[in-house]
Amino acid sequence: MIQATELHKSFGQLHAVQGLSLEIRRGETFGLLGANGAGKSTTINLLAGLLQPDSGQVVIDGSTDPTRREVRRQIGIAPQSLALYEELSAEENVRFLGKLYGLSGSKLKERVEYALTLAGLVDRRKDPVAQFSGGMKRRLNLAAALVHEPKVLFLDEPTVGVDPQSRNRLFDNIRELASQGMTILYTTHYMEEAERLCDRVAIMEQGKILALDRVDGLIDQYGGLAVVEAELKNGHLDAAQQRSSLAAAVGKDDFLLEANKLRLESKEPLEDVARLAQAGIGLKTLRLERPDLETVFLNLTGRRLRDE
Amino acid sequence: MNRIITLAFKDLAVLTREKEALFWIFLFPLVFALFFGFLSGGGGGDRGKLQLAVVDEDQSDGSRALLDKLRKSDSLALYDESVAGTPFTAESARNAVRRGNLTAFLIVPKGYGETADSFWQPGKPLELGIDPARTAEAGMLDGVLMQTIFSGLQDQFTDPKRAKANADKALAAVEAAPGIDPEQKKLLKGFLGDLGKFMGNAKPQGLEHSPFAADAKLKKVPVLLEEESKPKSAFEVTFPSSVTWGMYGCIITFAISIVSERTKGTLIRLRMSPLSWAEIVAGKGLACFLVSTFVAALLMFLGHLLFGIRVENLTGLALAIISAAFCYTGLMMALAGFGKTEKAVSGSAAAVFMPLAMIGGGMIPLAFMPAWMQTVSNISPTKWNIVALEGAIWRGNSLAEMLLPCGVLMAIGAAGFALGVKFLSRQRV
Repeated sequence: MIQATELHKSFGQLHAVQGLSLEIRRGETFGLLGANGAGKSTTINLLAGLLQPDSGQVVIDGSTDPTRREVRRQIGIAPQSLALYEELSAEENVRFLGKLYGLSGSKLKERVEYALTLAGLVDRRKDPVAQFSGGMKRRLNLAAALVHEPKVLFLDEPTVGVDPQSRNRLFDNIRELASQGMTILYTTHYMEEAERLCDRVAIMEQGKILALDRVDGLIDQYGGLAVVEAELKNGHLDAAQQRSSLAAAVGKDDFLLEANKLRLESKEPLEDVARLAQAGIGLKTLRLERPDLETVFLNLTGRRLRDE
Repeated sequence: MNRIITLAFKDLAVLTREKEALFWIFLFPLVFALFFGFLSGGGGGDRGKLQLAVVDEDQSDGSRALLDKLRKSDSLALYDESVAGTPFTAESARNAVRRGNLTAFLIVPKGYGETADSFWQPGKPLELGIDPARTAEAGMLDGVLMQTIFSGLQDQFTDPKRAKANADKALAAVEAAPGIDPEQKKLLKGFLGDLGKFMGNAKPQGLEHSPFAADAKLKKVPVLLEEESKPKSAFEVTFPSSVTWGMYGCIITFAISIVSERTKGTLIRLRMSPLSWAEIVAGKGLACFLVSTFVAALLMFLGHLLFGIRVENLTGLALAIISAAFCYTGLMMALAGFGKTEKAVSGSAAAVFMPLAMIGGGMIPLAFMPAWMQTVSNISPTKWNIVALEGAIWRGNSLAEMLLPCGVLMAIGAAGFALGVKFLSRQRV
């Protein structure tokens, strides 16, 4: 549905996007995960035709010119900034955008109802946007992108500044849209959002894609080992006997054991815990830490996503 | 076209929710027109006349006749009472002039009426008080007073009964007067006797067309155009100026709205819609043009309705308003193109357009400016806006005469459009 090949974009000395290539399949929810300033918004603007690449090519649904009217009709965008007219009501905002896309009459009415219902703002439809909470504005920002029934949806950091309740509602909305077959490009710097919503995720840093795969694929490739941390029951064995029985149970001895506390890195953490139980080693506490996208990001970039 | 109209109407809807913008576009110009209109003498009446405090100490038929004649003068406005409603005394009249409330005062002394008609006795002098620095007004006042007094004498010779009585009275006074040279006395008695006889036999109807009733040998040539091309009230000056301020409000409001579309991110939505760049610019321009046209038409309508502002050339007025709205819309585009933030736009507007409005007659009427400044004012769109509007409302300019100011406004607008579109296209997202 969307194909980008070797995209480059610079602003003066700043190379915002450097040789970016990706392909987003029809009906897929694709995540661009990266820290602030990684080039995610520039990528969206390039794909949407809002910016001209210095070099490279974008193809959307077979068209190499995303600025063509018929291509634009297929795209909905919810920019990172709240692109709404605060003086107008929720309904006026959505209705205005629908009219710009040529909707009128019963079709316009139907789509306005759909958008406001999706955003959960039917009861507040006549209120000026300026009176809305951050979460309500974000929901309306999404609804405004959908009024013209696009096939492709670009969501640029759609949950910034949103309360947990509104965030969950937005997630539900996005899942519903994905289930209807919409192609979604979702940029975020929240790894849990990418994990929860996206079929595939590209990790961006300094205008480049460092890795691109399904979430579990990324974790498998770049996440490293899971960690098992446990406190052992204080039995009659001394430290040396404890260590040898543990090594016999899990089949290796590259673990840490200090004052009855075990730390074990493992590819198969659940299986190792089962082996400990079978060997009669009692556990007072147990904690399993699986690698996630945060670990992937840390391993790929050398820093944490939340350090920003 | 529908999309352009949709965009323009969205901007109009946004404008109706912005109280501050509405104040600057609609209310401030109206307040400006009213404030400076009333400050400059209001809606006609005694504006433009010499304002004269009068004190009639004589209270005779003669003094009343003199004041009645003066009241009929187009050049004078007579006031018998102060603002407080008390009749003027010599002192209060003098104070009113000293404080600048009135131009001059005139005191008709006691006994004026007794000698006013006399051919022989010297009359009691009228007392005229005026600031010596006001030489032009003093000269004009002298002329009006002398004309009025002469006119009183003239009246005697068109009223035979009154003239005979005065001739007889003068004859008796000459006979009784000591110390007149006998030869002179004889001549005077002969003249006054003959005059008495002549007036005694004369018919009033015959004298009305005699040389006695003739005005001075001065042929008055009414120059109607000059007469008509003066504002009849201060509001005919302040309302055209106020249009400039209304349009100035439009410039800032809509230039800021374009910049806000960019800074708030809504421009991304517009750019992602099927609207072309030209349609976005056209929609923005249309909204500004419509509001500018409306505010100008509304102000002129209110001026006409409330203060009787004339509209000598309705087609010309429509042309002037449309030209001015086009001009200011173009300037709005240029301003939006230059300014990247809302603050930059309002700052640039204040720095560039405020001085242009000032030198163009937006605050002080062009007629009150020195010649060199009137020349400099040619660079200001405000000047051409005011010239075009005044040309249509009270100068009575023909459409051909309207072409220059309207053409200049159109040219400025076109240049503004070109600059604005060029600069705006460089900063699309």
